[in-house]
Amino acid sequence: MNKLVCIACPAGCEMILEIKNGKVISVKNNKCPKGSTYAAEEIESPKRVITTCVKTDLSVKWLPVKTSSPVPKEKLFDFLAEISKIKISKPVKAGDKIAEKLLGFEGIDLIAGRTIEI
Amino acid sequence: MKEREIVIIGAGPAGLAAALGAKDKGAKDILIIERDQYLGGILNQCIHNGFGLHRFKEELTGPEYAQRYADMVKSAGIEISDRTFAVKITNKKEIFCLKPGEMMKLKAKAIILATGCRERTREMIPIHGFRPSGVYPAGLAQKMINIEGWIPGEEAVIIGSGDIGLIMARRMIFEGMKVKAVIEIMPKSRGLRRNIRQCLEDFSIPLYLSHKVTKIHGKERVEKVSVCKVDESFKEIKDTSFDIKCDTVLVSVGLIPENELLEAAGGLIDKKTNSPVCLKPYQTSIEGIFSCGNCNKVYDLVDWVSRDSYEAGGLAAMYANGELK
Repeated sequence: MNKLVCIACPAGCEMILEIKNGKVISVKNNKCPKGSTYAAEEIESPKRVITTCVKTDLSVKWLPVKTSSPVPKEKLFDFLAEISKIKISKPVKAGDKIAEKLLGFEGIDLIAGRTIEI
Repeated sequence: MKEREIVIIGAGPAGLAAALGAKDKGAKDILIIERDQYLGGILNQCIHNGFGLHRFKEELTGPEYAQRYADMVKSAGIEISDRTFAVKITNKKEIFCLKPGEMMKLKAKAIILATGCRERTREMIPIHGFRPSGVYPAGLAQKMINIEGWIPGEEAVIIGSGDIGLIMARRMIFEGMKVKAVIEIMPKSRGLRRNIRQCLEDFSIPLYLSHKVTKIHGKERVEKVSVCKVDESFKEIKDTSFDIKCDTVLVSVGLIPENELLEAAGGLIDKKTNSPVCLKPYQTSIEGIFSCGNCNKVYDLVDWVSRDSYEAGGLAAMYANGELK
């Protein structure tokens, strides 16, 4: 029996997992289906969304960004290093894709968190 | 003195939601006063995600949540005076503001205070030592990193395990710093379980529960902290002291509602919580002066700030047009 705190939302359910051969076979104590999805992923191949900032030449010096989907946890710092190379010199809108396929990963893009007009 | 229907002080999540609430209850003339040049207040420096799950049914970062409200307020045609600092309000609902090149005097039918809160500082918790550089309230360090792009130091210890401290632990790791420990005097963390998991455990940062920092060493710059175990009454337990080398200390020991404007106007403030005394929902002891968001009480989730402040805005609009008995 394994305990796992769900990070899918602020409720932070303390789930109880049954794991066999590296696979989750049952999840208890989760209040919603996000918990079982998260539990399976966390045990088999943990992932995290990255939120950080990238430098700009605009009126707001740092643009908050996030990855469009979670990245493999063991590659977190590779992604951060890649993101830190990006510089923004044109106005952006919240939701704009400012980089695609980070480190060649299909479906992992970088999304602007706010609008910077000038 | 210019007369306005509703004047809102602060364009953070509370002020923006209050403006929408007032508008929806029929207020025609609303002005938001904001000292910064951007809308959204402290959300702009909270670049992590986890906001909006209740309000928007999706997980947003702080700036994304702020942007949604800023866009709604702008498309509702609500007037905003940015870079405007409210210096004084009176019990006659007058507002005195400073803005670049101008002193603005207004009189409102209803005022809504949405001034947020400020951080408790190192000086409010007893820690021995000098006052070296390198000691920051956690939210200030957050602003330094996320807004200014400054890295506060190389090796940090965090005092207090509230959510801001936990979030900052991960943030500093992302920026290449080392986080040596989080020290919590209580036997349990006040922070969300998921933040302990994803901000500390993910990076093997030790969390010392029932421990306190007894001394910050260093005269010019922080050199190390002394830590010891405490008993149930928070008294130091003998022979449990140890030192942690660091050049940065973040203090994350709670928030206090910001109510200097109301207090100076003669409004009643609860001395224990620093919240305004409200006998009617969201209405302070001065009739027609309302209060919402973190200056009313400190919230855990911005979603509830938006919900409650929207309601407060509606009540202020009803007061202004004489519907609120």
